[in-house]
Amino acid sequence: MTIDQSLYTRRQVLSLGRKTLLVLGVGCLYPVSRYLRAKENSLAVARIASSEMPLKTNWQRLGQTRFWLRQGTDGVEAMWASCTHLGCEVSYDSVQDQWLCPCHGSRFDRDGQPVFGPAISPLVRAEVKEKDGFYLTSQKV
Amino acid sequence: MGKQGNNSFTGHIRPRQIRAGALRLRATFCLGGFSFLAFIVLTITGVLLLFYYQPGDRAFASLSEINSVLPYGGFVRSLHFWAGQMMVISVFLHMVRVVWSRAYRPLRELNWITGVVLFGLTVILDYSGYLLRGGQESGAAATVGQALFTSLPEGQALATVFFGQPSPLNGSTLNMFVWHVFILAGAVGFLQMFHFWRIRRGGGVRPL
Repeated sequence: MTIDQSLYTRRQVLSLGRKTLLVLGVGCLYPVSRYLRAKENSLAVARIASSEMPLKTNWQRLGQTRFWLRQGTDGVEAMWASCTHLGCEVSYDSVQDQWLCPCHGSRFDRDGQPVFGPAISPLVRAEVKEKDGFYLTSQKV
Repeated sequence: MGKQGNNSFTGHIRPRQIRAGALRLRATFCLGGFSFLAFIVLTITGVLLLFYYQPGDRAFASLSEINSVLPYGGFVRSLHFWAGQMMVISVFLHMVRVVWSRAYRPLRELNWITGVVLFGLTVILDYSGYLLRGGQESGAAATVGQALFTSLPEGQALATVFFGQPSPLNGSTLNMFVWHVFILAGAVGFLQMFHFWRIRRGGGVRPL
């Protein structure tokens, strides 16, 4: 095999290949990061058929979600059951008529106002919309 | 930094000496290397899909979400599918080339057997990936596979080990998910490394 000076050496081809791989790799970073971050900060939503809606004035949990629903004075009210201290899931105890947080002992009254413990902000309500025979609950923005 | 040239970790992949005949494209058509490239693409896209795929009842729904909602999700999924198809084809063609060039003869029998096992595992990976799609055809394909298994002795137990409890409409189960993602892919990866080591130990074919 004769050596032709105008052709590339193997070393040059491999070096070009390395650079191409590097460029492609760096080029992938943006799409992959967008793909992986797509659900960042997405708000929770849930729905329940109106016919299955329990018409109680006491708070009741919706399925396995953090939405609790009750019949208020004008329509359905929803609470987002996250403690305003550090975000643990709170639950409503109908015997004590309080929301209880298992993490640091915060307690909120029936309407979500803090009465005890490290939490100082009231529990956040959730939005409720009625549409086509369903109640749609969503976290507040 | 570190060792230089062929003495470094990345450098050790490149051989010190190459037989002149190995440089011809017609020697191997790069089929084995292409199969491995397809495998790498499958692994990377597979890991990306793993972030959002949910086996079982939510399989088809999670895949639809990947397709439509996620940015570049459809691209990642398509890459995974087509790399899979290309891998099956190129592994088969590679096997044809090996037979044509009689590279299976002593002392290469063990490597040949490894290669055949790899081919079988690749096809099974293709099949199990199709079941994970979670559509109606996946359910039908899973039913056929289950029926084939139950015709064997102790078939019912075997069928449950491999397929779990798929419904006739949805072939995706947690069992199939574990087989496809971890066991089969892991076995193929490991066997490939062994396959390459045997080739290089015997003097190598094409330089990387």
